[in-house]
Amino acid sequence: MRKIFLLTLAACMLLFASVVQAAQITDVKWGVDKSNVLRLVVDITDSAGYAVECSSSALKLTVNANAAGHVPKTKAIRSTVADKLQVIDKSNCTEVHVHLTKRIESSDYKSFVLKKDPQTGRPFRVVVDILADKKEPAKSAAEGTAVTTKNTVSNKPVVSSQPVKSTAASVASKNKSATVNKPTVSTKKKTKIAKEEGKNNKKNSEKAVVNDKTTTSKNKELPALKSNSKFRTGGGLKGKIVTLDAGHGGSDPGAVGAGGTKEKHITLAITKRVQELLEKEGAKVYMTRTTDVDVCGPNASDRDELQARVNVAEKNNSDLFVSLHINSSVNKNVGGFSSYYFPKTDNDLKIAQAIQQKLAKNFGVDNLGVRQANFYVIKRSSMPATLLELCFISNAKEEKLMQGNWFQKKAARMIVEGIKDYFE
Amino acid sequence: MKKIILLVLLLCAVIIGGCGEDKKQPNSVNEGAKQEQVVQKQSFIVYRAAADGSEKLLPEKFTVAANGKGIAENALIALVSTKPQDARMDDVIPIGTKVLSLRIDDKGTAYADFSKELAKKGQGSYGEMMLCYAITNTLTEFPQIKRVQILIEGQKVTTISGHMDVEDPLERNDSLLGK
Repeated sequence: MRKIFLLTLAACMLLFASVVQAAQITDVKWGVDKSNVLRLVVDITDSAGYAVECSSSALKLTVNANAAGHVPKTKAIRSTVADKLQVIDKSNCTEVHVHLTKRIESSDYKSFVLKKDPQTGRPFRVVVDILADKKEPAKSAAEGTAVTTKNTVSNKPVVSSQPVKSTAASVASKNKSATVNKPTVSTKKKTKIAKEEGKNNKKNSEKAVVNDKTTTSKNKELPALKSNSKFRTGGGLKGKIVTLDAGHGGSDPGAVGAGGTKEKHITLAITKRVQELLEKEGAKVYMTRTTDVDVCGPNASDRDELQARVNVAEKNNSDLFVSLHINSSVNKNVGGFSSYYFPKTDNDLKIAQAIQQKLAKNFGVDNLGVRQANFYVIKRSSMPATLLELCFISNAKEEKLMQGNWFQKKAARMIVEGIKDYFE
Repeated sequence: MKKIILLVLLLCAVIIGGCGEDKKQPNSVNEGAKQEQVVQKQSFIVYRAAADGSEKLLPEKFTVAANGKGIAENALIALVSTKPQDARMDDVIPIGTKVLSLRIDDKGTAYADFSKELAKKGQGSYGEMMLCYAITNTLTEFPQIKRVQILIEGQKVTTISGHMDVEDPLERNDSLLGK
């Protein structure tokens, strides 16, 4: 009788624990990289088990966590392999359905987790990469012919079960020298989702991250996915890849001063000087534009226009992205330099500080400082980035100042010195 | 002994049931709406950009007579259609902007729909940022609003004037609050 009592108690506690500890999904995002790989990222407050299952019409990602209220139930996807994702709340877990527009095989996708990163504020993430373009269709019959791979997710927390990612990591290490079509993470091998303990999971997620890196660097035929460690941050400016973005352009003049000066012209003039100086120092420079044009096209949407600028940096595997702008305010007396960053890597703040320091010291203009902002180009680029606001075009004195050769030359030189400091 | 087991089971059921309910966010929106109709006057705060360019938002107190609209919508209308009375504050809302509607869902996201004048090109990033957070911080003063999705003529937009990313709802930014 006593045993039954204890057992009941234990069962109750287990159930209770599962309710309390449940991690929560805070966001479901997608993106397409230059190799046309669709990446699905699920942000979760804490580590959680997951499973991926694929049929001819949909890829189903099951995560052992509930979705927060604000997570949208559906999202449109712009990719050649899928058009929509759905977030479906089950009682104990959440299913993310990716509606496929063409058939994929188990070798066309891989999944892994990224651990929580307190420094950039990124949560625990489950990532699924789907190859939209096949390199060699269905060559490896052994792995590739299975149209549907089934993985079951146990809705009840399994206390002791083989951790999911350890198998994945070992499979991946065997695969290092394998053919392209072999899946990096064989989903077949995952049969059970374990409600992993935090510590265990951390170790595994680290392995998964490492696994991701090795496959991207060693197996060149696989699409080179951007990981945060891909950009270089030290060892001098020489040989570094820098993308410069002259703000606005073409149909978008940017801010316009009382004297008629257009932001797009000033940003381009200074950016060209920065390019010249950087190249002299041995850096490889890519420009989002070199003339007065829209980067994407005159009738492009705002998003396409901004994304086109980010794409230049991504496409060229840039180590750094610097966007140059001129500020404006309704108050005509406001003036000064400011450098903006979005804290997505450890180096975003660093580059903003390096440049701001140079600009603030060497002009008799207000130092508005380094500021954090939710700006598109610095948020959506994967490498460290800063957006510089070089004085105010709305301030008559500064408008005149920025038209002069002296200012443009010196601003360019200070920006380059800041970039040099950053790479030291 | 059996009784004890039953009791423990019952207790567990209650606890688990309780936890389940906790997860659902209490729907305070409707209650708020009811209260608003009773009150004759509405007092609220709108946030204005500091005129000194210090990238701060300053609170301005407002009181309006009840007009059948929700207090949050009235605050938004006050922000968009009036000039600040204090010389330390700037009006960062482009001229001609109108509030088309304000809808608050039960998850705490406010959908603030503006006429196309809001998305004026040619504002500097400073003006754009102040504009976005004047709106967001004014609306998130109300407990039923947790985040704000800015819409232009009913549509989601990527940016207001080329810098800010407003595709996803904006959360309150307390680091911009000044005194």
